[in-house]
Amino acid sequence: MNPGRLGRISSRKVGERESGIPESCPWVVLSRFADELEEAVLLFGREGRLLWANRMALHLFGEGVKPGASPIEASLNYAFSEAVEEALAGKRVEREILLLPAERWVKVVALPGEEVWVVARDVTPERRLFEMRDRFLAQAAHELRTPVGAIAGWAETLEELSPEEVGEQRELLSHIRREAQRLGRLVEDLLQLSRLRGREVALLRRECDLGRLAREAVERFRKRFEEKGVELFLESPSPVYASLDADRVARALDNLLDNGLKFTPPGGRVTVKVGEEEKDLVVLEVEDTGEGMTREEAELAFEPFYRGRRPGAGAGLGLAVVKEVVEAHRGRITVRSSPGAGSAFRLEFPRWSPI
Amino acid sequence: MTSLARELFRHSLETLQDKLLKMGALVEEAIFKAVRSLAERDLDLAREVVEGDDVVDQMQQEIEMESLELIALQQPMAGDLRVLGTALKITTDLERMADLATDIARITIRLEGQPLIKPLIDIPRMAEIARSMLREALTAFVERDPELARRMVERDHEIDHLFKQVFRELLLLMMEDPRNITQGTYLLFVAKYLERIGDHATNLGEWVIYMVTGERLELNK
Repeated sequence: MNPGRLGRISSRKVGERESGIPESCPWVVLSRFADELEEAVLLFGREGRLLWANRMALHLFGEGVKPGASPIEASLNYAFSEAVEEALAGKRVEREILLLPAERWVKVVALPGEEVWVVARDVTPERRLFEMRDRFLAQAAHELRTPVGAIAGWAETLEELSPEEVGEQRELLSHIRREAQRLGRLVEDLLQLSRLRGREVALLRRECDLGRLAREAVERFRKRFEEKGVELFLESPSPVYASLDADRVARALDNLLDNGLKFTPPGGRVTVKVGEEEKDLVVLEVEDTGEGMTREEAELAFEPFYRGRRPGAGAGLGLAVVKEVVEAHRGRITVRSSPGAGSAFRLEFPRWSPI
Repeated sequence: MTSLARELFRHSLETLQDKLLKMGALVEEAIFKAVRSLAERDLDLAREVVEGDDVVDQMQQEIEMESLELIALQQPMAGDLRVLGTALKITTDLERMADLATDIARITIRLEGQPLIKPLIDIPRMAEIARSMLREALTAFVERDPELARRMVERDHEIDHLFKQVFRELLLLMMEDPRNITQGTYLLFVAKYLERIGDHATNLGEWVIYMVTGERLELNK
């Protein structure tokens, strides 16, 4: 590429086309090509003034991108202007910088020379993905460590007991069993989540009655609701047939009922509704009269390990699994909730498997 | 001035303005990181803000010295003199804003990562408005646009309103449970600091208006 050529565009207002120049002129072709790039490209002259920039540069850095602007005027970003100045001083610069107010991470490469070419690429999605993965691993490890530690501790105490202390032995063994079960559930949830996320296992879709699945789930939970004094209702008119993976939908229902029970105080009510909307959509709603969530909490509710204000109430994987089940069916999940007014989870499934 | 001296003076003025913008960009980042560190209880990020304050202080001194030198040696008049005077005033406001951001980061460190008594919603909102005011003030400065400066200072009312809201909310939380008092007090300080940052941003706007029009306005009532 010949920067001298493009350098002459300095008279061109950034982002606009100049008229009267043949369309076939190399830099017209080149700058049109540059406008299609997903990277921002900027060219600074030896005086450190902006000569030329492509469309993405304008999009990423905003209104300051004008011919003649200094690096700081163009970006209002300290790290960016430092990078360009270092390149003007003859150093190749490569670094990630944070752009405000958009809160986007951008990888900047500034090539040294008499004129400085700067290429900037938005790396925010990659960074978010890494952050999410790191957080997930850290939390999973943390959740696994707690019960393992407890089991090891109790086993140690058990070893120290004399054979006569049968009562204590029994008690410790039942602690160990409970923690092992908790661990088992957690591993089960993690496996579910990773299978669904990785789309490793295809859904076993079969025609089934969503109303029946809901009825069976309600029966499974009946006793636990009665014990806590929370009413459990089912509104399911006629059979609602759909092509679903019955086991996984049942699992999602269990998680939703489990949640409803956990967050609804005695005297409250949880209602399961099954229905159909239009020809091709079946709907499942689980509504409670519990604590409800703020908007912020509702946004995070489907994140793995998010536990809201109730630390200790499960590992926070339940709703993440529900969401994955719905999305594996190409469905949609939404939540309606406000503090003190309960929460309503709405799951929409396409009635037939899309081919 | 001869035309060469004039040219040199222009160049010095441009360099000074760039330095001022860089300082402003650093302050914007400091406010962002300070409040983010608080919301996410990120102690490393908070320490980064505290350590970064030295660079801002250094820049303030440089800008002051360079402005005074230019005034003494070039004896500028009218518009040019106002630009230099404005640089002197703006750099002080920016430095104060950075100090307040550092104070917020120090509170993050003092909270030692303990869970917050409430999810932060209005406090980040206050910071967001303050940052956008700062950014608009800098743009108004580059563009020599008094209208933009006037519009941005109106946004300070939003910050003041949010401050009152946060104040009432925290007061209630502290009355409900005395265990909330330590953190409640810290968060009140944070809100107050952000309110002060908003006031300094308003000052920036006033100085830009002065620089362009020569009128001194008191917009911060």
